[in-house]
Amino acid sequence: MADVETAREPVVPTVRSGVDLLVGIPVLPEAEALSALATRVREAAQTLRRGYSIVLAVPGESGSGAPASLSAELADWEPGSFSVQTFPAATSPNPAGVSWLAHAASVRPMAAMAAVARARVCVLLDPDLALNPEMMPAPRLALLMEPAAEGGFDLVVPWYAGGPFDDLVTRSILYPLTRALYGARIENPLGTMFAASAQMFPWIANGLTPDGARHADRQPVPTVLAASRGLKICQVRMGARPRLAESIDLSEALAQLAGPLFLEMEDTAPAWQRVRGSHDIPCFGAASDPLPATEAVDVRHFVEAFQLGVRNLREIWSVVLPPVTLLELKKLSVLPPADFRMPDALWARIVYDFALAHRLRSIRRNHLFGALTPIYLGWVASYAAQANAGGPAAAQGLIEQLARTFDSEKAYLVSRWRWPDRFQP
Amino acid sequence: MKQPGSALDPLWFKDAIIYELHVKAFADGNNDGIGDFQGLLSKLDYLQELGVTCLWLLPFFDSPLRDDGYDIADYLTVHPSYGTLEDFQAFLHAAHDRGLQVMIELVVNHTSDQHAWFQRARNAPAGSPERDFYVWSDSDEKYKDARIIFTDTEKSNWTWDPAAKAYFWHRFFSHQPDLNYDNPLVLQEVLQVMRYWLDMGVDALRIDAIPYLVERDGTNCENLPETHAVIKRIRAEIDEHYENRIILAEANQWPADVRPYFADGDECHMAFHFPLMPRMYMALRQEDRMPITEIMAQTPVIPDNCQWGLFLRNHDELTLEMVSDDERDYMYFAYSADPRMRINIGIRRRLAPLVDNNRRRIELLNSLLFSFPGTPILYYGDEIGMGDNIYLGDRNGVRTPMQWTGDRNDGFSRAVPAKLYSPVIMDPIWGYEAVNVEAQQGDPSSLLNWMRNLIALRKLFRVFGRGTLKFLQPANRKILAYIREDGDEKVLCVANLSRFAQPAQLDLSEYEGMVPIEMLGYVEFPPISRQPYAVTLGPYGFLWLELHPARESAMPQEEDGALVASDVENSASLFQEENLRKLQEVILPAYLPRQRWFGNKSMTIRNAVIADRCALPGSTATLALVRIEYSTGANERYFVPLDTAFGAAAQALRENASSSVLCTVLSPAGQGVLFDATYDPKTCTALLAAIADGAALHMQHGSVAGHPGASLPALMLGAEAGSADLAPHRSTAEQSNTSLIFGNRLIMKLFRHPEAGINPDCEMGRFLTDRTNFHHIAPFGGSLEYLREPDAPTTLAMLQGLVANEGDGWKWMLEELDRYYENNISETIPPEELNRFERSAAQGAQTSSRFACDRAGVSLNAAAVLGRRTAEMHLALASAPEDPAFTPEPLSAEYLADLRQRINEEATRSFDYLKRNLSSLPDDAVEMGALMLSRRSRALGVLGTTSQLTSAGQRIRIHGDYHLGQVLRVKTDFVILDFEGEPARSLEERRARHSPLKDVAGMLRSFDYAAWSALMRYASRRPESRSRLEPWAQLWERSANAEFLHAYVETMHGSGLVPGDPEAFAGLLDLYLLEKAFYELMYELNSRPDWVTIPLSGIAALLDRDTR
Repeated sequence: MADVETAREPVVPTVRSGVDLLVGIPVLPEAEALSALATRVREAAQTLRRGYSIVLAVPGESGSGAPASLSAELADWEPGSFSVQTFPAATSPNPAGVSWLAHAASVRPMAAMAAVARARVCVLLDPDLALNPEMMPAPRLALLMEPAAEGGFDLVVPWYAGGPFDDLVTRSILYPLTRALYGARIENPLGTMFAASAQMFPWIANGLTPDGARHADRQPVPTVLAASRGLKICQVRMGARPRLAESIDLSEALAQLAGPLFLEMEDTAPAWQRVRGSHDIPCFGAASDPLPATEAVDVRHFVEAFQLGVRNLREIWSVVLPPVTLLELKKLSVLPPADFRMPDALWARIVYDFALAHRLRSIRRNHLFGALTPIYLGWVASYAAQANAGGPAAAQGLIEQLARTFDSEKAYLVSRWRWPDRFQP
Repeated sequence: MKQPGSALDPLWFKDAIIYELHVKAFADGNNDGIGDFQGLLSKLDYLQELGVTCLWLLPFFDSPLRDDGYDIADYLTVHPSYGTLEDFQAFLHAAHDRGLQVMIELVVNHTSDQHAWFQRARNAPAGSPERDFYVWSDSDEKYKDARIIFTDTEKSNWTWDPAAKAYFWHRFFSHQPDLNYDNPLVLQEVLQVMRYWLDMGVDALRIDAIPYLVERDGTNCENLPETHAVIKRIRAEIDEHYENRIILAEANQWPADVRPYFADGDECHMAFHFPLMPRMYMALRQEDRMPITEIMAQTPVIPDNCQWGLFLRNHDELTLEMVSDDERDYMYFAYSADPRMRINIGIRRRLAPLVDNNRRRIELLNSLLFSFPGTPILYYGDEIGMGDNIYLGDRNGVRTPMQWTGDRNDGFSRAVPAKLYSPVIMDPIWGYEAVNVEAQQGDPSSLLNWMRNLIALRKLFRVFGRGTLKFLQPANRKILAYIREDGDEKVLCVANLSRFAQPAQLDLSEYEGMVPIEMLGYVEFPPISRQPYAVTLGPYGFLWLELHPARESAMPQEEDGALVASDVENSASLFQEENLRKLQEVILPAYLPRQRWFGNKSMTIRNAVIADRCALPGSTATLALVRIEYSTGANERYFVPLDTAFGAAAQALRENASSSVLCTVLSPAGQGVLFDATYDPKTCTALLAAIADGAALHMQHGSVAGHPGASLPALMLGAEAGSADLAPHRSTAEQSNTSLIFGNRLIMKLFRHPEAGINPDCEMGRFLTDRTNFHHIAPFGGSLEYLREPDAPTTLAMLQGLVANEGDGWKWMLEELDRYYENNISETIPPEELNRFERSAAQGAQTSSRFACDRAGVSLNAAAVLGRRTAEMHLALASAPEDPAFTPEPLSAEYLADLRQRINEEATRSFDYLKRNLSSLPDDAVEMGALMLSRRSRALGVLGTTSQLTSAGQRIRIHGDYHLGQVLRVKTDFVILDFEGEPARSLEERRARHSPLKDVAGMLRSFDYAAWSALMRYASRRPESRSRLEPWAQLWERSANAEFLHAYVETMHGSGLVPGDPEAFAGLLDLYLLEKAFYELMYELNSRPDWVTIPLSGIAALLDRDTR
């Protein structure tokens, strides 16, 4: 977690001002791939209603390699309509981290460049998708650009299709938590691919909280920045995305995914404590049926991991969780795998209690996510058992039901947050 | 380019929690026994965790330390005991890194006598610039009206300096000579000192002893205009070179006297509210909210970019300068049993010992501190309930080392105890082993953790730092209840000042339908209804309740209340099918009661039907007439212009004018809002054009037509609607109507609750402007009328010329009276002055005396001018007998009988109501009320007398709701406004003819109100002055009446409009006065029991006159 909190001030390169779209990618591709990307970006922009001048921002040095070669190619394009701009490559604070974090270090410099360039829209691309012409053809790029460029939206985020067992941390924590906190139902609240309006640039670049405090030492979470200010957010359906085998410890993954949201909760408390209920946000792009699961999940290992946690972590949990929750967990631990069901309300309250413990630093933050891991596995077991039984649509229904429970249990979080007395039921 | 500050929001100080500490006393980093910057730096994490946002450091500059550092010998260096300049800078950066702002002291009223400036001055020749850095005199007689502040130690404000062979001036200790701001070099030096610290990054400066900067003979040398000029210069320097830096004024004065230090938002950003602090302790001890509500009642409004600084305790004594003698004695008895606890004019004790270490009392006082309008300031150690040591000298007993742990020297220092700058507190109750940070950090129920939670909670709600304050008046005075409001954020605070549980019934009918949610535990309370809201609080208990709209409390899906627009350019789709249903059944019924201009907030709206509508050309707005259907009672109609906005415009409305937003609008281009179109300048301009151009707009069922007045071209002076000269803005002073202002030329009044029929305001304005020579009104410019057969036309808007003025007559007169009372407080009225008024005064045949004119000349002259203007208005209104609407009619015997009957009924109702509510009146009103009830029969008898008035004059069209609030002071004259009549009456009643004396009576009653309410206001600051000033109030009221009537009668002479016989004139006037006074009595009994004495004494005086 410490790594997430210690990003540095972005180094902002000089960039010509007066561009319309600044499209950035956090890794430097091969010359051929960069050229292909530039072509698709141009094609995408050409499908929009008006003409745009575009800067493609890539890490590296301008006079050499792929950027130089692309610059030479651009000489044949319409003058002034497209240029390439380099920026110093940002080193990921944790290259072994989950994929969003690997690219997050580029978000702030990119937004800073867009601000300096007085761009109207900044589009940041996920290289895993954007460099793959099949996954990110020009129409999909246009889909990402258009709402910010022409629809008046301040933030456009992708919504990826997935199967019942994909992105479970997002679906069990990030999505319902963001939705309950800020009222906007954003399926993928954490990501490094988005399009943002000029209004967002300074906040992303400087890490400004709604009350004006500056957190230049954190990776920005654009969805929270926008939602906590009531800005216009929409989602675009991007189809499936490549599933990378991330060989990362689950506790570390939880820390890197939920940690940033927990941090944002502290700064945006005045905003989210006023939000009641949640609402759908506009969504563009063709909807598709939920993807089926590749195979059924064996829940026994998850249940065992949970039971192990109950035996070993009770003392630590008692610092974070109230007695009634501890009792519930104890009762769950004696259930056979076939009957193992973690109630949604229990899981929602546990997530809320861990978010509060994160704020209060009840235990060290890296230990905190370690303590959450077995309970999370318990939730996975409960969910998987139900998802195995139903189809992908039923699994989606389970997540939606869980999210609604997060909404309805929010009062619990607010009361705990406002008066964090340990002496509670 | 301006140098930025560490805070990004220019108003950061409004949301701040300030923590006052002395570097010396906080933490010792080098273990020499004295706190220092290294030590302070090591404790920043503690302060950050506590949640405070700004650190106020007491003076840390080089000094001989004879006044704890307020005697500065060098402004630019750090006292060696506290570290070096580099240490300070390291601390400053570390604080900023943690998001903490830093405030330091700018002690520039005086220096130490060791300062190089003073040493140079005393040895320089008299009259030289060097000598003139300080204030010298050959005698100690100059400025003798200035009080001595440190009465315990100083006998004079002058001290002889043998080197200079002259006396030097000092408002504080004799070793602290005052700087001389008449020497421009002094201010130059002070500005350099200020820039030095601001350049380093300091965020805020507390200007010490600010009222005393400049001296002038013949004054008390406090708060002088020249002092304000110095402060303005300091502020201008800050604004020119720095961003987001502030100055805080230390002015231990009454709120009204501190108000000028905010000026127009261009002097100090903040000032301490000194008089509130002792009154919080007084209210607690007396178990009575009055000390608090009284001082807050006399706290003036301050500019939006300014803030009060509130505190419970600080490094000085609990000052009792700003209380009356009795109050001071009470405070000494209540809070300083041991004489050692007293110093100067105050009590030198910390918070916890003051309240006998009672945790609930400490919490209650902090709950008040954190929920009152202002920025709370905590004194170090009070967050853990530290004690004091009254056996130490001066104010050192409250400046002992911070108690960090139970270890040696309370963890403050590892020096040998004898080296400590002050002994630590060691007794069994307050000692560091019992009270320390470490122990309380480990105790979840400690005061420290409670404070941390409270601070975090306050920071969640902007309303505490920025919202308005309104006190509720529950009958139980042990309960203090108030509403804080900032836009949509509303918080109800209720505190029990008593040591026993207390019940209270709160009148929250204004918030009917809302749901209170207890803020600490987020617990939902029963919804508010029209009935009194019952709460019970435990001993010293308090409640903070957020008020949420009822619909929200059920946590609905937001999109349930959103409309869907098919086209952002055309709002027609919002008024069709499902959208229309939502608008009428859900959105408008929820929106309308939130508007100030909506009348029946207490009634339940069943439906809000859009009865007619049309697009407004030149804008995207829709003019809608909404029919309100209540669950019970008759329907009403409201005029509601609506529009949609998207993107940044929508966002701006949500942020800056959230009350204008009806609902979300979803469209293909994203989300927008449906909002009150009067917030859009384009709509305002389009409304102006509709009148100016005589537009004819077709609605679905009726039509809207613009009718320009004959004077409109002259009023517009060739400018067109939409031009820069007629740039529109919406007046913030919204009542039952909405006012739109165009440049400095025109004002448009939108009648929100328009009635079918001739609008008297338009009718009278048009008549007086176009058909008479009476020019003392706002000229009529035109109107917008709605017509739907078979109904009569309905006036939707009226346009008038904008009159440059000095405020309304009421406000102007109150200010004049304040000066009158201030100037005469020490004088006595000769008895003959009050007795000289005879019946002839009520007949307009007597003027005020020379004595009265000498003392209240301007206001009495104004009363005479008003009398003349009133008469001229009446003559003009009767000047067109050929116009059926304005033809005068004889005042008949039937009319008089009806009048008597009406007054009789009003009096009967008032007496009944007074009887029922007598016990709940304030003490001073109970006796007067009982006396009045004892005269009931006699009063009704007087009214029942059927004496006939001969030559009663004429009935004509009159103003109808005439009082000081309806006139504007324009230079030395008045302009009469608002001919709408009493809004609660029907149009027919408002257009009825009456004797002109009805208006005269209205104004005379207004004089009565002005005299006594100004006295109440004055006496709330100086309670001991009330009885002394009462004869002055009587003298003014009688003199003003006499002047008004004399001028009125003189001007009306020979008109035949009023009774020619003086006795008949006075008799008819008395009837109208009684009618008005009984109406006022009912109003005050219902709304402002504290004011009920004004109509009661008015009625008593009239009855006395009638029975004589």
